[in-house]
Amino acid sequence: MPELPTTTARAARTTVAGSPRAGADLVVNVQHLSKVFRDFWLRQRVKAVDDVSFEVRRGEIFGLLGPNGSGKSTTIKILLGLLHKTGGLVTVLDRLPSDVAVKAKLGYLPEESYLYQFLNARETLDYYAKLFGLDSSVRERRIDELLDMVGLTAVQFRPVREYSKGMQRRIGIAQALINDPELLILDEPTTGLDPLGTRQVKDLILELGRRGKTIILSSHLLSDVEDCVDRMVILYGGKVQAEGTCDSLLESQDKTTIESDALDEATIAEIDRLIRTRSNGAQAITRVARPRQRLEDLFIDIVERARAAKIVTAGAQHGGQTAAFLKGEAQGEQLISQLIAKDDAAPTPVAALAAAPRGPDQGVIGDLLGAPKVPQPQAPTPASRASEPALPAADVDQSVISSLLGTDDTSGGQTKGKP
Amino acid sequence: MKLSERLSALNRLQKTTMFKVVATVLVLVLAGAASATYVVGKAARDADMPRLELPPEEPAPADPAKLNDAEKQANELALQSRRAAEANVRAFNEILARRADPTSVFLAIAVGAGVAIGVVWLGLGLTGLSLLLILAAVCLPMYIAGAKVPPESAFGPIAGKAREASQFLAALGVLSFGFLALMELLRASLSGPYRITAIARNVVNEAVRMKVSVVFIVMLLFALAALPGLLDESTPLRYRVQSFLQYGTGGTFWIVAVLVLFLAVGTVAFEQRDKIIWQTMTKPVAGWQYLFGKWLGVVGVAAVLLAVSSAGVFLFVEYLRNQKAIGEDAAYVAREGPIAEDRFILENQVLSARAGRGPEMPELTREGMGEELKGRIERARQADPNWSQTQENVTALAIQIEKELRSSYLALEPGSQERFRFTGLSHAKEANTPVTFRFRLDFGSNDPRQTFKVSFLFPAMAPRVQEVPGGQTMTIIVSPAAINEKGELEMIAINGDILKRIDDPQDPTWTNDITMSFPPDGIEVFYAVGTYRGNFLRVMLCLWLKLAFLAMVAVWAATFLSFPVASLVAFGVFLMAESAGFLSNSLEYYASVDAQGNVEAYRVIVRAIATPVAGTFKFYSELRPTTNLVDGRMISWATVAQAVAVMGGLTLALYAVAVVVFRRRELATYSGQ
Repeated sequence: MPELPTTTARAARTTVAGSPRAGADLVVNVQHLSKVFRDFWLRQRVKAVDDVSFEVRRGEIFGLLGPNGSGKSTTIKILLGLLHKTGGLVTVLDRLPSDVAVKAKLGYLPEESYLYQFLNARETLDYYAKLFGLDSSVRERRIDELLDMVGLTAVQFRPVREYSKGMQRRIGIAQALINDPELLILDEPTTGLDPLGTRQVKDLILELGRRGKTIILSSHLLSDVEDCVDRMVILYGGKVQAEGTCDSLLESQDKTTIESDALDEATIAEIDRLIRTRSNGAQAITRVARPRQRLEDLFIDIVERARAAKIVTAGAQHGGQTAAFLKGEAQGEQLISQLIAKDDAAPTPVAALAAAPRGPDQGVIGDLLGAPKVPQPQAPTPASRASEPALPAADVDQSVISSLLGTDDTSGGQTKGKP
Repeated sequence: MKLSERLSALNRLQKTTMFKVVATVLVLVLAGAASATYVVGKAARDADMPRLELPPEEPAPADPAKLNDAEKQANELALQSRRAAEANVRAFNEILARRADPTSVFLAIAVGAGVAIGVVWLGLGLTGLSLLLILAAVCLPMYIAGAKVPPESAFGPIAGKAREASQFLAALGVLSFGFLALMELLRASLSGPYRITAIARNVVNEAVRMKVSVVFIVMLLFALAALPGLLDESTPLRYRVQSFLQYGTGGTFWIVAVLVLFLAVGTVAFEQRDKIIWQTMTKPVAGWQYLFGKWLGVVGVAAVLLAVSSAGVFLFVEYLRNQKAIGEDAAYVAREGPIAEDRFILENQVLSARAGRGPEMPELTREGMGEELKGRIERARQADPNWSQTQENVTALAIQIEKELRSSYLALEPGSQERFRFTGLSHAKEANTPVTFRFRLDFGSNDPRQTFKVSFLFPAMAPRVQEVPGGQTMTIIVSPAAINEKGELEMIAINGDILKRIDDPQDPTWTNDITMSFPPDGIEVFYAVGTYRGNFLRVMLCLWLKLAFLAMVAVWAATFLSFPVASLVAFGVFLMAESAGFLSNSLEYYASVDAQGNVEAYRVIVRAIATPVAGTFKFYSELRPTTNLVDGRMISWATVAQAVAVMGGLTLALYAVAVVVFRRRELATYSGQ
């Protein structure tokens, strides 16, 4: 049974907490962009974008947020050359958006799936692949991988008009990736997808980000954005209202959250007393609650169990490892070339081999002698930046924690280790 | 194994190379066998083929120098008559030889084999064979029942209908499969990894899978299959062939033209409306590639439809050609005389490629025109003191004078005669083939119940007296001996019965009591310059060029207009182009000033719009391939080249404008939104 890819913690993508990782060159540069829509008589009707400036650096996942009518889609369409700007400067990969050549490196998923209804999934992907000039062997391989990734292999010969909205969305995602783009622009990518599909898309976004792809993500589903993006800009009324990283924008500076195993009322009271004592009554526990499992995680758990029980379902399958070409795995001749290159590499010196300790492989023997390890299904972890927040040490009162854990000398009488 | 699995297995089998090779060899063997069988059977039939022989030649005079003038003139006349007779006999024998002409049969076998091999290599060999067997299983019993059951029996009418139905079904089946096979070929040819061909192939898929297009295609195939059944077997064969050519070719063009307009407009306009174009134009596709691909796909579909329809028309005409004409006991076997008139006209005038020459018209000298104009101007001023001598008024008078001169030349009063000279007939003289004098006469209101005696005198021919109804086209076959060495043919037309006058000069009833006149296009001499088959191909090329132009009009309109408005514009241009000839003629009589010389603004505007429109589409409207085909007129390769240049130039100009407009468009906005 294909597994959902494990989500790597978002924090691992950052070298310094809260800042985008390597690659400072600009992929998208928008400076003082404005767009005015005029009517037939050239009268100004709507100023959709007003003096918007932002930059998207190579390798980052950039969020474009805002309510309806804020100018997000207009901005995206200007980046793609579907609209002409009224003023300002816009470059994509150092070229103007109208440049046809730059589109060879773009992937675009619009907010709705605008597909040819009379084509089937395979024909749809084949058509768009031909527009990129891919030859037949590459096309066939990528189409197979993408169909498998989006779970439409079983229904690939049905016309698109017979697909559900979610299935059409999956095809839309696949066509946005057919050319393995450098810059991926996703407008509401999870619209119409069930939670499993949403999870898969978010995992895909993160994986592409790890591969160094640059992604612009526009979505109303703020939790999805929060889970994925490095930086974001929030628009309203065509203007930038806020810009920054998730941490800088979302972190509350005046509160601390601590998560522990279940505590009884007495312990909680003790902790509250401690906080009051140490703050001279200025601070206290303001809320005690049991953490809730996310509904998304519950949903996924249930589906996973149903799949394990091999319950039959029609429609899209949630197959799909990420397509190999998107993971950067060598294919075909590229793989052979790599293997030949390895073989041609300098052989390991005999001395080095001789120096390697000879003897039984302790790890294997240890395994054989130890209890057999039953592989446990990994609980799917949410694609969330928040799972392992790396809090700057200076922001947390370590003494409180130490007190709770009984490792604080000032606590007096507290035993070390867990209470 | 389930039926679906078996069918899938067979489908895979017919796509294997081994199967294709074996099937090709089989087809070639069968074609060879069919040809050989025909040749053997033909030899037996040719044994009793009628052939005309010349009467024995008169012995030449012993000493021509001793002949007097009258004897010399009689000798010369006899020689000319001999030459005329030789030409006629040769023409008749050529027509009779077509009965034995194996070209039609070999052509059908070659085309059939070619199509079969094409179908095999498209991976549809077993599919085609299955269809053939199903059609045979359904249609053959119906046809045989219709042939065997006597018409007068109780089941006769039903059997007759069954026979017609079987022919209709067979034709429909063959046309449909031909269409599918050619579409598959088109799709295969557009399967490369190139942007333009990918877009074109998508249009082809759209044409086949979207309901609107399928409706037109089915309508076309049904109409073509049903048309032969509408022909009345009691009408002369030449009229049946002309009717079928007219409706088969002309009807095909109009249906395909409407489909082309709808498909071209829809494929561009709907993609913009439904935003599908976003996902195409955010790929590395230039605007010019997108539009060219769309146009290419549409003209490809048009070419397939035209090819299927024209193949059907051509093959059925060949079939009709080998049916009995009026006055024949069997095809090419006349009941009386060497050849039936119906057959002769069919072969010589309809299924031919002829060039036409009108008579030389009189012209006024410069001085004569000047004098006449002065007189007319004076008369106009006397009639109306407000009449002004403007450029336009004087030009109108000059045109009027020329028209009246021609009209009076072409009009013959009772008992009068007029000499007409036709030049440029050297080709016909050299080929020594009969020419056709084609005429139409108007007698007042052209009462269809009345006919009039009209006499025509040609050199080296006996006087011809024709019973002529008003307003109907008639023909006279003229011997090439009547054409002089300069390639000129002189003809005298007389309003009356000249033979009656010769018999009794005092009889006043030899003349008609009404003036007769030839309309401007009612007097012409035709001569063969090519073959019907070559002409048919050129006609189809011209029709396709027109369709390609219309497709670009539609694509151009859809780049900046919504579907309904673009359709209106495209259809409007189509109708304007088709009627541009009528518009040009009407503009001759449409002045922008009244009789007093006052300029009328709305007339100025109308002329300003109509004149360039008529001029732009002049070539399009004058290129009438269907009319030429039906009339047996030649469409030369020079005309085709000219059509390529003019229509191609117009298409290219529209394409350039469309590209410029498209590049400036904001595709994220749609007309009205």
